[in-house]
Amino acid sequence: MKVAIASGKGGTGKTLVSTSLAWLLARDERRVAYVDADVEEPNGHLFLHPDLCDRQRYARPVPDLVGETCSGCGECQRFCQSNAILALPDRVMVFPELCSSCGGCLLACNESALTERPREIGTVESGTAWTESRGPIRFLAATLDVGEARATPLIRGVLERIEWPGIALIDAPPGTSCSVMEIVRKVDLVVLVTEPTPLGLHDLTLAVEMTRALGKPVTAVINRSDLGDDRTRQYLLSQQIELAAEIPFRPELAAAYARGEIAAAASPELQSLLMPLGRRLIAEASC
Amino acid sequence: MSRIAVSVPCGSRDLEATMDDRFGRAGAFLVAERETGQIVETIDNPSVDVSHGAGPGAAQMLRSAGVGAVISGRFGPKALDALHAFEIEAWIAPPGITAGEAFRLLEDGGLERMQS
Repeated sequence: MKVAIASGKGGTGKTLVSTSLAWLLARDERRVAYVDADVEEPNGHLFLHPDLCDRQRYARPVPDLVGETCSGCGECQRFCQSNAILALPDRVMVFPELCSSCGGCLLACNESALTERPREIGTVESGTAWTESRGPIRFLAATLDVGEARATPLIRGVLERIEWPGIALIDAPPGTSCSVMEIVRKVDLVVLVTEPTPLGLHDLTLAVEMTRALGKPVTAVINRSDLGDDRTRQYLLSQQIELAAEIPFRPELAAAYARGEIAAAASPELQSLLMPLGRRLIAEASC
Repeated sequence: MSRIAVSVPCGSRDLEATMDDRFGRAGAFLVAERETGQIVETIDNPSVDVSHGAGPGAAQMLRSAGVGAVISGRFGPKALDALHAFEIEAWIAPPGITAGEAFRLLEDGGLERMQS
C-alpha cells in the first residue's frame, strides 16, 4: 500500500507526520518504508538516520541533435510545452534542463534529426533506518541536482523503485504542482497535513481539489491544532473529509525535532494521536 | 538598416522610458533603427510570464523582429546562448537609465558586450 503524505502549504509537518507514522508502524513490527520524494529539499534522513547501502545516479532521456538532417523547421519547438527547444535558422538548440522528458519532440520531427540521450538529474539512495522501536524502517530517498528545473522525472524514478509488499509512506513536496500530482496519481491514499491558519486553509483547499480531480481518497491531519481558528475544521466537515488526527503545538515536540529525533519517539502523546491513522493503514494494507 | 532594441517596462513608447533591468522577463522591447535612432516600434515580450525559458523566447522574438543588438541590465545564461545562436549582440547597461541614454551609450562605445 502506498500512502502520500502531502500538503498544500509548505512547513505544515509532512516530514514530522511521515517519520512518526513510520516509527509507529515499525514499533508495531509492520513492514514499513519511508520514501523521501521531496526531492528539492529532502530532510527525512535528518530524523531517521538511515544506514545507506545503495546510491545510484538517476538519468532521464532528453533530446539531442543527431547528424546533419535538422533544417530548423521548428516542428519540435511548436510541440514542446516546456520551452526546452529553440529553432534557429538552420538547426534547433536544446535546453535539456527545461525538458520534461515527454519524448514528443522526437515524434514531431519529420527529419529524424533528434535522438534521446540520458541526462543525470539526481541521486536515489536506499537503506535501512534502525530506530529504537522494534522493527526496521526501509528507507528510500531522492535528491535533485542543484540547478535542475524539473523534479517530476526523478520522482517518477524513485516511485518506480518502491517494490514493497508493506506500507510505503511517501513524503511529498509541498504544493499542487506536477511533482506532487505524479505521487498522488500512484498512491492508494493521500494524507494532507495542514494547519488551522488562513494560508493553511487556502492551500489545503487547492490540495483537496487536486486529489479529488485525480480521484484519490483523502484524509487530513491538522498540525499545531490549538493555534489559528476553526475554519479549517469547518471546511473539512463541509467536504466530508475525515480528520485523522489533530496535533497540538508542544514546545517539547519542536525541541525533539530540532535535535533530529523522530517526534513520535519523543512524545507518547503524539503516538496516541497518530495511532488511529496507523491502525487504518494497517487494516487497509492488511499487513 | 540594422535594428537595436532595449528592454523596457510594458506600455513604454518613447526614449524617456526607464530601461527594464531584466532581459527575459522584460515587459517589452523598444526597437529603433541603429543608424538614425528612429523608434520603429514597441513589442510586448511574449515570454514575460512563462514558467521556464523566458530568455530564449525573448531572443527568438527579437530575431523575428529583425533586431541585431539588444541592451538590457541582466541576461541569463540560456538567453545569452540563444542570442549568440541568433547572432544578436547582447549589451549590458547600468540600471536606472532611460532607453534614449542606453542607445546613446551604445553608439558612444560606453557599454560592455556580453559573450555567451
